[in-house]
Amino acid sequence: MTDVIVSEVLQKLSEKEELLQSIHVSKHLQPEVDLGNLLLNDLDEIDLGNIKTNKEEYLLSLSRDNLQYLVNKLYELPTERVDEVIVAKIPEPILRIPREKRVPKDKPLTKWEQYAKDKGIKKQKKSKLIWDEELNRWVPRFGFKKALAEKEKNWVMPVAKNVNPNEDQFAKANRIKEEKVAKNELKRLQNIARNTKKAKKPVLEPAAKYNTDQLNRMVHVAHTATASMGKFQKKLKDEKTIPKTGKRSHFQPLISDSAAEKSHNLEILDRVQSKKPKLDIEKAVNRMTRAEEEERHEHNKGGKKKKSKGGKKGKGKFRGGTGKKGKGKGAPVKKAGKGKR
Amino acid sequence: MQLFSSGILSLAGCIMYLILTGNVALCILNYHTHNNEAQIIGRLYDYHLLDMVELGIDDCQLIETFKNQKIAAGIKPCLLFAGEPFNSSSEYQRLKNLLVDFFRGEEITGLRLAGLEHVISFTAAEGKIFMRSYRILTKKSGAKTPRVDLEEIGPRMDFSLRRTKLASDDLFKTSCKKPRQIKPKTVKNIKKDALGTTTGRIHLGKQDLSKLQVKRMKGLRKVKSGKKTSKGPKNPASI
Repeated sequence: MTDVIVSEVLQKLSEKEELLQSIHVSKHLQPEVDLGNLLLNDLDEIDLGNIKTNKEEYLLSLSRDNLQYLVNKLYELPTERVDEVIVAKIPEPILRIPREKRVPKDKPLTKWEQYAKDKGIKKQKKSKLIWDEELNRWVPRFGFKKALAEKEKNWVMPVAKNVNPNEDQFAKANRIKEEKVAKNELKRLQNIARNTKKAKKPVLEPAAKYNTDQLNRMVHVAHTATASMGKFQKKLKDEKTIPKTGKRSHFQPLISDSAAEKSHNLEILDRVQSKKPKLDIEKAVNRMTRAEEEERHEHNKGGKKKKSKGGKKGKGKFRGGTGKKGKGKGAPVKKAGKGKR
Repeated sequence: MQLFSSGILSLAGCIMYLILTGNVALCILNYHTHNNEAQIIGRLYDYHLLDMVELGIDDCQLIETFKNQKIAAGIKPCLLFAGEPFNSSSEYQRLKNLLVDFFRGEEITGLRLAGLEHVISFTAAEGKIFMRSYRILTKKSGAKTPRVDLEEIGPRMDFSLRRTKLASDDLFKTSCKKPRQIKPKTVKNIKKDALGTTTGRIHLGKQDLSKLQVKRMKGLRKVKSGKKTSKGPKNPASI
């Protein structure tokens, strides 16, 4: 009797083992699994002999093994029940796929949001309904139902002693409400205006009186503001020719006086090899002081209308001795003996 | 998101059309000439071309040649990649990224385990890439996990990797960037040790040494509980 039971138990165990074997997958190297993408990377080498002889069966068995491994991993995930269906919680994908479009820019904070952030004020969750004592029921905090409830409560409005008795209190209350709404709208628009980029100041500002520089500039702009940059623009009677503005590169001819070319090249070599600093401190300081004086003069002339910003970014003004592009006002402060960098 | 176009269109013109009209990010162009058939898979980032890969089709068997039951459209497939090139060669790795991008479907947080139906496997061997598409059949096994069997359904294609035009590494990096809101917030200064106790560090900042009380004053002396402060003559030794 016991023999039969034992043999039955052993048989069941062996069957179970067989079934367990059926989901067991043996791999030389553990495959990399990315459950977020349902992706599996097999790291084992492929049997090329098998590919040549029986390709399709080999690919099928390989895929089956890999999929079994993946499914085993999927069934290890924590599950939850959603609408009578068992659902596994899938983790974040590991393989990073590129986005379709750029990351959107952060919205700029409004004035209140900035203040709340600085003070550490956090939003408090508010309930949708409020208990109203007078009406003895739950009333929404906002919306048309709230407005109706307010109307119910304020079917009559008391008139204060110091107020004109002929004044319409209901109209007054409505007006106050409208003003509040308008004020809110104004603040909202101000927030938007503050956060959007403002248009740059035009090069030619409208003014009552223009000086010669401005007038010349206006003439030049009017002349060149065509599709061909003013090339085919006819002149008016008695109008002076509009000079070309802007920097033009001047190149030496290919074949020129060889002595001049030789001396020029030797000069360059001397400058490169010299130990002298490339920045002429005195020259730079003189230029800077002159620029400051000019600025002060203009500032005084303008009658303190415009606030001068901390130094103009003169394009050509702070070049060093070699004529390389300068980086602005920082240069003259450096000590003599250090090269310009 | 995907647009198929056949015929001998130039890919650049095709992409411009997609950008202007379809608002599309992934595209395949099939072209075939006498003796030569190929596919170009391309993807866009920020309205510009990101990656473009030409795969020559060496052998192709369409879905119709496999006479069996198919699966519904739109099911998220499992993706399997095998073969050494997919782990070592940078070109193949980018191709893997492109294929995953193409075939993976939506991003999900939960998966109905009984609903796994589709598998696509890519195997790289002998300089070719074998794409096979299978249907999943599940059988009971002794354990909770079912035994899985495959049946080939979908198109069977043998590709060979031809020309590629891949994005530079830094462009690829910027395109993979996640917005700041999605990044997981790292909690600083709090640790859990092996025993499970949570410890935190508090940084007090630098102590202002000029405000240290160094002078001994009677009022600051600690008074032992129960003992009255003596008002008698001070012991000169105690000062």
